[in-house]
Amino acid sequence: MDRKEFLSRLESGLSRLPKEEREEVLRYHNEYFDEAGPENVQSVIEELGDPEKLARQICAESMVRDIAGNASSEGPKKKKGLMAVWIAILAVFASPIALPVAIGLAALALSLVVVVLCLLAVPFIIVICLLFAGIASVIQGFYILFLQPAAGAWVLGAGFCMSGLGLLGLLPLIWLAEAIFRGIGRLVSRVVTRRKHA
Amino acid sequence: MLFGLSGPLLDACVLSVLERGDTYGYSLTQQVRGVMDISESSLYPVLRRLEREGCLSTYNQAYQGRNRRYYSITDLGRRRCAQYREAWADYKQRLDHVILGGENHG
Repeated sequence: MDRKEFLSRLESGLSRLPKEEREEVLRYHNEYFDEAGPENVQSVIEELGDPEKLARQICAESMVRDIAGNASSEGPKKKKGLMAVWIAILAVFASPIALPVAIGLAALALSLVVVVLCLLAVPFIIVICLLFAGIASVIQGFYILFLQPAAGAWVLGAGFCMSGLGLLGLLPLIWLAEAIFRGIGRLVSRVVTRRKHA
Repeated sequence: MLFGLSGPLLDACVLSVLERGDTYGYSLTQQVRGVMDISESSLYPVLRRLEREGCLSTYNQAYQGRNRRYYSITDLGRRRCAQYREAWADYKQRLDHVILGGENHG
């Protein structure tokens, strides 16, 4: 066995380790061979022993370290990083559920907006009908006034009443609609910014 | 060497050597090998563990056109080393008691 074979056997034994960790192991042992010098390659290989055994030893040590690192309270930075990893894993596993849920939530929000629009549309339509009917009645009232003054006066009066009610209803409805849409906009922007901060 | 070296004793040796000054993997191994039997293994797992635990730090230094990684003991490592030293003195005394027998009793 020469240096190259030793290192390649060591590397293949480390396949379970993350790439950086593996490179670190190889870097160390490459340096070790360099320091020992080319004339000592055989004695270094004897010193280090079986490359597979060494690889197993390094893997075991790495796993023990991971477990100990999880359990120990020291190193909050590492813990935070680990948390991020867990959340990422969770996100991946949750995506088949989370994605439809997100779509459902978006649909729910959209339907809420539609319901609000419909609820607003009903009084709007009533008010606008009142206005148009009132204006039409006023015009018709003038016309009937010349044929049958009493009936004409009644229609004219009814027309003015309807127009007045319509105008009376229109202004507060416009205010109400404005307030509701501003509220929805604020709600949406708050949800979006909170999502961004999280 | 009859007595093997592993676990905390190996940690204590590595930290003690590093307490005398920064050094690189090969030199460190030779120094530890000088006193204890660590054949058929590498100090790499020990160094990596101690580094992860914050007992030592590393830096690279160019040497003859390549990089040498030097290991340097940290404050935490020094404290750990002092603990080992205390524990070792205690352990050694008790071992002497058993192995060397009555010598201490006179």
